[in-house]
Amino acid sequence: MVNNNIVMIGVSTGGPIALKRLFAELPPLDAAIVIVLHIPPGMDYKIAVGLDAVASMPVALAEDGEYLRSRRIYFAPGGFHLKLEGNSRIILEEGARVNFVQPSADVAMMSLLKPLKRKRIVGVIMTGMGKDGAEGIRHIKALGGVTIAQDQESSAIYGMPKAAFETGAVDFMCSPDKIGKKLIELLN
Amino acid sequence: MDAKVMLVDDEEMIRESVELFFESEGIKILTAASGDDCLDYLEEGFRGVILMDVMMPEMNGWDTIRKIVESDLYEGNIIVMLTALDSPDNKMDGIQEYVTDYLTKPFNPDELMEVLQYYFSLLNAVEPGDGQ
Amino acid sequence: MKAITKYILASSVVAVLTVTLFGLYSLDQYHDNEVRNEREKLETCIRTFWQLLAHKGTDYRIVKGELLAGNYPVNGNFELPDKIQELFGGVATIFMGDERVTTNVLNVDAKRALGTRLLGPAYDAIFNQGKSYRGNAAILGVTYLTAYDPIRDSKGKVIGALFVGVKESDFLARLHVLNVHLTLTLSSMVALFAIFMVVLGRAMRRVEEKNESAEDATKDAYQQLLDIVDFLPDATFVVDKDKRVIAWNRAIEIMTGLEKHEVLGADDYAYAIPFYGERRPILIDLLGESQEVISHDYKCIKKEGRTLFTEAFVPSFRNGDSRCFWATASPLLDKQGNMVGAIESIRDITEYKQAEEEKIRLESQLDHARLMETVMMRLGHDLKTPLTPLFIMLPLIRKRLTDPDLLNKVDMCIKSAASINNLVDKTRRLATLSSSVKPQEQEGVSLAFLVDRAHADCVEMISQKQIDIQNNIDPAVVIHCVPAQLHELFINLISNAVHFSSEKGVITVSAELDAESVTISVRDEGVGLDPAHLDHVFDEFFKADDSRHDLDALGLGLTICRRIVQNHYGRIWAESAGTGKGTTIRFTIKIS
Repeated sequence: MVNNNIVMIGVSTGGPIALKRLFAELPPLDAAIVIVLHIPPGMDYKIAVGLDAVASMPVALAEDGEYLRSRRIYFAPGGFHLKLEGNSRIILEEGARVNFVQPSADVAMMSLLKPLKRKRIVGVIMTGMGKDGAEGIRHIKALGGVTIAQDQESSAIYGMPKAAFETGAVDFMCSPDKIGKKLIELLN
Repeated sequence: MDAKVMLVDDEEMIRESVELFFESEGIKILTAASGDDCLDYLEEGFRGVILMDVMMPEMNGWDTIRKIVESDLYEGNIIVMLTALDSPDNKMDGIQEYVTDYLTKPFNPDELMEVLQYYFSLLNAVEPGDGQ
Repeated sequence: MKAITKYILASSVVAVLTVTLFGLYSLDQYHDNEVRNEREKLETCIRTFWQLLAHKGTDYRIVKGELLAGNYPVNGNFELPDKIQELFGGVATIFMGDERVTTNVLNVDAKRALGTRLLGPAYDAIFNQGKSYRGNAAILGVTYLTAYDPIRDSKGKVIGALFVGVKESDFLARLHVLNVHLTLTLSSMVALFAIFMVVLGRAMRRVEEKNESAEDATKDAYQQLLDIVDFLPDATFVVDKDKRVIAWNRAIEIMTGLEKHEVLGADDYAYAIPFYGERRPILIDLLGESQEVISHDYKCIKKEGRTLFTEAFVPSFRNGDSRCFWATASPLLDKQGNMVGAIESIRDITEYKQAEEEKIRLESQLDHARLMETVMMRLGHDLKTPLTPLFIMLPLIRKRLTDPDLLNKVDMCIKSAASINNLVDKTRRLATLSSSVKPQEQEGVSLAFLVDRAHADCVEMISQKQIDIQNNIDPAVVIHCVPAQLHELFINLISNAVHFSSEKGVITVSAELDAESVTISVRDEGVGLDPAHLDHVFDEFFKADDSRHDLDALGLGLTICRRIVQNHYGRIWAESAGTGKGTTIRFTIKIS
């Protein structure tokens, strides 16, 4: 099993702009980046293409069965739940909505396993309504990962970051550009 | 239909001032005074960024979005809520994926422009492998 | 009589059995509860341990056989384990690898158990699986409820472990004591039942003997009746058919100050005097009247069967106080149904009435508060709509202007619009904060951690003014609160202090502990406050200087602070030696 550092980001309303602000200035990271944005099918690739145009790392819709590679951004497609198998292989599953959404950040984050030695997992929750991702953040923290949430000031909707913060498992709270700096600090 | 933006708001004051602003930026805008008007424009073929008020009489913003999705009129649009409410309530449950952004009134026009330009670029995106 | 004894015996057995079963059930519930409580305490304990350690440094590494947290040496340094013992009474250890390098666990010769190694399932969880471990573990031969978390270096490698534990035997001992209590209670109840039965048996026998003399019994019954009347808790009197007072009980003596010997045998409405100061008919005198007369003349009197009820207001009772009474009167009938007398009971319901009125008043106040909350929210919303055109148009106008004077004026308008917007936001925030916090929203958080976070959020304005913020709070102080509200409170207090400080000023945040609460102070060296203003700075829309139209200043910030502190049942106040001498804001909050 090849294993990478993994950054998993859960985000919803206000997400496209927040992701643009996070990735526009970010150099390639020594990690596979998985983004779970609440998005319907048909709109997913547009956001991915838009982000690809501004990010230094290639962005693409995640494909079922694909193996994660470092320095790439994997974008969860709409209409499926995304899970990781052995922290390395993408599984796309149909099924009921979780936390009223699909894809759900909780589903993706809960599929993470304890990383191999010397490998890091970072969980990030950004702007959005509801509480999707909060359980996932608790899980990542329990695995020994680092957890970050977007701050209230910069969030279009301070719902998901607040829910994550209230689990008590969030290590850092900051704006998208500072989240970027934190990721560099943690991974490069 | 060459407008790229549609504003849905029951307040005439808001519709007029936003319209004025977009005109000064050289962007064509449609204004709809209700959710029904918005659906009519979509039926007529509008595709672009929809700026949607939440609190409107008869059909509110969330219900309008539900109607848009049910009527298969979502494809090709980006919906941005433009509202005087700080935070949405659980009436948003179930349609979260369709709400791309949430801006509170009164908004800073420059920020709105920055955001809109990015959304225009997203709408122009072509599916990879499609026509390339 | 034997049947009765059997019946009593049977019900006693049932009662004792019920109590026993209930007792055992409660004990079981208590046991589950205790286990849960212990677990929670354990989690809080280890969380606090992490917060304590993180305050020393978050970069964990082993250098030359020494475990470091930042630059804080851990080996042989008992500060943190001792703090945990002081706070929670539990044991705490830090492992470097699997070796205890600092601990408050004592070995058999009462020395700290340093250098010993971690064994068993906890070792397996931490070092083989890299996971936290919760459960029972044997430490030097004693069983503990324990929590172990791995300590990782910056690369995520497990280099040690954090441990806290609560001795399980303490917990069991508590349960054992409770068991003894319960057994004692149950056995004393059984004993009581036994005594009760014996006494009852004897009483029955005596009643049987008395039955032999019917005449005696009648006399006794009459005496008993008078005794019963005498000891009724409500003020009560009885009259015969000539309206002469034949019973005047103790409660009515106390109520009226009129003693038995003064009224017994008296007629001609003597009983009305203590209430009305004159001889006049009262409720008891209406018993003979027909339904029509009563419902026509006395609207406040209700009749049920032969009994009358009323509420009467007495404007000048005894000391001249006005009192409110509730009274009921019933006829006393012989076997043929002839009225041979009457009985009236009177209860003073003044306090009850007042309480009821107070309750109605509070309810209407609450209703009003709710209405105001809705109005504020609605108003806030509606103000945003007309603000929007201002936000859009003013910059448009500004772009077309070249005249510096006009530019200035438009800038003022833009600033005002922004200020109104800011006020609207704060007003609505205040409205949403106006209900008290529920216990389930609260959790234990390190106070120093909250201050550090607020500091980080205000870092921009702090560095602009080059202000030095000193957080003197012991990171071990844990308070019970809604973290998001306390976060907002500290942001408000710190930004206020920064706002009123001059450049390169110092802001000091400290805390003083007493048994139940902690008093937190945020002190600046800034513009200070006029003593006359100290009590008003928390008032809505208070500004220290009326002539200054500094709309970013005070306004609602401190009102929001007061709301948050009150939501946590605390108190907030301001202190200042005077204008130019700095300000200290203090507030109290309960510790967990």
